[in-house]
Amino acid sequence: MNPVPAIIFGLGFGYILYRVGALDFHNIINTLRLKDLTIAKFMLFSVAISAAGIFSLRALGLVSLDLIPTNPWANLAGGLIFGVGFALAGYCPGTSIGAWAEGKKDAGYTILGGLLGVLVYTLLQQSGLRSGTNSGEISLIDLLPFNAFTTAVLFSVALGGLVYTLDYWEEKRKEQRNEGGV
Amino acid sequence: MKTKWSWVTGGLILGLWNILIFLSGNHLGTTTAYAQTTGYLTQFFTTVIPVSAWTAGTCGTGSTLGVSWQWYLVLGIFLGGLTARLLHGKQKADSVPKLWQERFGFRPRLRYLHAFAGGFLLLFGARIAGGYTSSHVISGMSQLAVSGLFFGGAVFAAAIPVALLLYRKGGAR
Repeated sequence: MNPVPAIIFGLGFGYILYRVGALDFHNIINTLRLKDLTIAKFMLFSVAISAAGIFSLRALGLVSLDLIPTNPWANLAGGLIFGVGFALAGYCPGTSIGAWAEGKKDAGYTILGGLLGVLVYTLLQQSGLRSGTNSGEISLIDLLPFNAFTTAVLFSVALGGLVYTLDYWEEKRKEQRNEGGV
Repeated sequence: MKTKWSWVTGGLILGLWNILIFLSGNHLGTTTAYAQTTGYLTQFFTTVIPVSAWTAGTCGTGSTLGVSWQWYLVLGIFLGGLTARLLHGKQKADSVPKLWQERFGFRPRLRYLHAFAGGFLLLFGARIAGGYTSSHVISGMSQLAVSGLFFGGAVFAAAIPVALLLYRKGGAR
């Protein structure tokens, strides 16, 4: 395996996260406090672009999908635990690495905590902890009565609409607050 | 601030970047790198836990505990943060985020404890769920994966109330 593309992809990813402010504790926490939704809009918009692009390329036979299996209880329970950690740390596993590189000491502790989290999970799993049932690799394209490309386009449009609505709502709230202040 | 991109610019660039990553036959994700690192360190002391326990799950599974594609990706993220800081960073980063200080005061050790506990829950949850933000949301949701939609919904369902509760006194900045 050639490591160069992986390093370049990671470098670009870290750089983008920095430039948009996703490596910063305040931007993450203010998104979660619903004070400033920049990071949420950034993420959802990038997913909308990706979905449209990936399914276009897939229709041309250039990429194949690789899904994480759906296991409703595990996905939900893991997400809830992750969410508490997200609010506490103000970083996610990827941004903590970039933030640490940026010189934020607390992010280094998040990474250490993460390594311990993996260790404890693996020990519990080895001692027989099992969670939920694995329902296999399911995508919305398997569930909706359209072809894959159409489903993806509809999904992108819906997501774009959601981002636009969030942005509109935020701008309106900002206006109201400014009027209230004057 | 001039150095900051808007969410439109950032989202567009990340979207295109993610498409390129897919074209190369790979996917974003870092939990496997965490698991491999922990596995590698643990293996040094004891081999009670089989290698497969560390490498199983998440996206892009490797069957060895070596330095994998994801591990290089993580190295890249580190270099990306470093590069951005050298190019655009003005001052030294705060050891305790301002918003956190407003709520809890300047107590670095308590902040580090929060960050550590947060990190623990992040990876513990991610391993249960089979992935996290980049793998479930950026690559998972882009493939319309049901697992990613479940995960993403649950993250915000927990993170929003906890953040509102933890930092309810902080100002908006």
